[in-house]
Amino acid sequence: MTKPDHRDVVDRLVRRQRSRLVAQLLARFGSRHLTLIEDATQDAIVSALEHWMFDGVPDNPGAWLHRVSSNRAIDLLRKIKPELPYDVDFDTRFDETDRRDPELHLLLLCCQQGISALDQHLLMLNLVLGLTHQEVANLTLSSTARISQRLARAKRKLKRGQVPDIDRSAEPQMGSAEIDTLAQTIYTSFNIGYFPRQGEQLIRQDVAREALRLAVTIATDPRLNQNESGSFYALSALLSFQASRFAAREDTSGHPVLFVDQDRGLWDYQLIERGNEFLLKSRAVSQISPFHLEAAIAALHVNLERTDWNAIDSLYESLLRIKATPGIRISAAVAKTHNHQPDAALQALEKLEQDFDLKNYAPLHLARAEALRKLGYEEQAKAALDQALCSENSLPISKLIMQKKNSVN
Amino acid sequence: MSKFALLLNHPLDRYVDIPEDDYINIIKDYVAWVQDQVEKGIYVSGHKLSTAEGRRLNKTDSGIEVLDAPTTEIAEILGGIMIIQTDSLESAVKIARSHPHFVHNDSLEIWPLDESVD
Repeated sequence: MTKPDHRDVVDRLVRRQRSRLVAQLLARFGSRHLTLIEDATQDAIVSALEHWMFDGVPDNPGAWLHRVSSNRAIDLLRKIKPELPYDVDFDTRFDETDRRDPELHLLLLCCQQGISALDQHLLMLNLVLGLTHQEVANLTLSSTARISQRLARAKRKLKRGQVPDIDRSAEPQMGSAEIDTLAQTIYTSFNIGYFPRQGEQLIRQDVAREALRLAVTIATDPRLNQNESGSFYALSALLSFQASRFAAREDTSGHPVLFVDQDRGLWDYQLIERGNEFLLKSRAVSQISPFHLEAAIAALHVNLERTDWNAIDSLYESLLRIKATPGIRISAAVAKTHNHQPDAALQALEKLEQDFDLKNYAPLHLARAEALRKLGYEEQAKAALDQALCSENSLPISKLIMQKKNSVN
Repeated sequence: MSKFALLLNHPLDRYVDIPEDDYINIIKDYVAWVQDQVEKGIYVSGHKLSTAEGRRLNKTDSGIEVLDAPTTEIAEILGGIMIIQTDSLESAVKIARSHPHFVHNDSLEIWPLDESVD
């Protein structure tokens, strides 16, 4: 990994602080003031950057931003609530080691019932992870206008929710429904755009790191029962294993590199080690979750000696019995092809095509092409790659498909 | 070591109608450059000048006349000043060439500080 330059450091700092500030102010003032809180945060960030532009970044930029944004938020709030006490002592509340995790609090708010899964996911990226609308749009392959519109609507719902105002003593609900949603939202947010696009490597690492941090925080939350906690440890393991391969998944010019072609020297072995620790902790359950199986599959992928496709194939068989999403069905078929059963893979993919309308889904056609190639049907493999090309793809993926097509005889 | 002032000019309306995210992205480039020079021991200090509410004072026959400044006729205003230290004007020019001001604007001036009075 090359050392990130100062521009990256500033980007990362702003992203991190934006989410932290929104989370802290929201926990303090209540989500019905969300618009005001976001305005105050944005003002504080602009004003901080304008200062740093000539004075350099201070030693503790977090505290600096916190003070400015808190004052700004209080000013704005007083206009609406003149009765607000003048001695709102806010600065003393700033504590990086606060056990009450403001981001978790914010994430719980985003995972309220009545907000669609897609919106929860967008809110997590924008509010909890501090990505701008444009960054969210890039990562979700959508337009900025569309993302802004969706986020505005989701935030209106959030503001109307049953959320504590001014007094932050009341925690949002954390029952089994919320816990499921939390896991799903973290998982989806982590998985955005399986193939990174140029320049987004760093954002994805930040997203991954924060998603992982939240998953681990939740795993240790006393409100979770043993099975729930175990499934969050499994999720933490899964995220660690997946994130360990980020650097290898893209070449120097930003083009995606498929798993079998990856340079294993670029994997992050420290992260793999952490993943193994989480996997161990995840075992204390009476019932395994889909995350356990996915984590086990991911663990087999980062085995340095060899990839045990036979074991991966059988784990997918088990996973499909409890979680048969189209994405998992495709991955399972790819594993079958690698496990010398391209026939079975092809059958599974054809069945999938009957079950869902996936004509425009490139991964399906790529998986078909791979199986057809193994079976020696070169012409049909080419046709499948053509279909993949006609699907909705980002540019680097289209290039990858073209390369594959050229390598078919 | 000598000190040099970088005068960062920009058109008056340069930052008026741009989206906030774009504006933030521009300043981030400046922050990153300054941070880089701070670490290299080159950056000394700087001041941003506000684009709002300046005054121009002119001596006239009847006394001192106070005008709004900047006036709309001028094409460029001074956005800020940065002081750097290095061994020669040539080296200052070389450092200034990497300035993000050239990504987002068109020109800057370098003037050596007169340190003989220090």
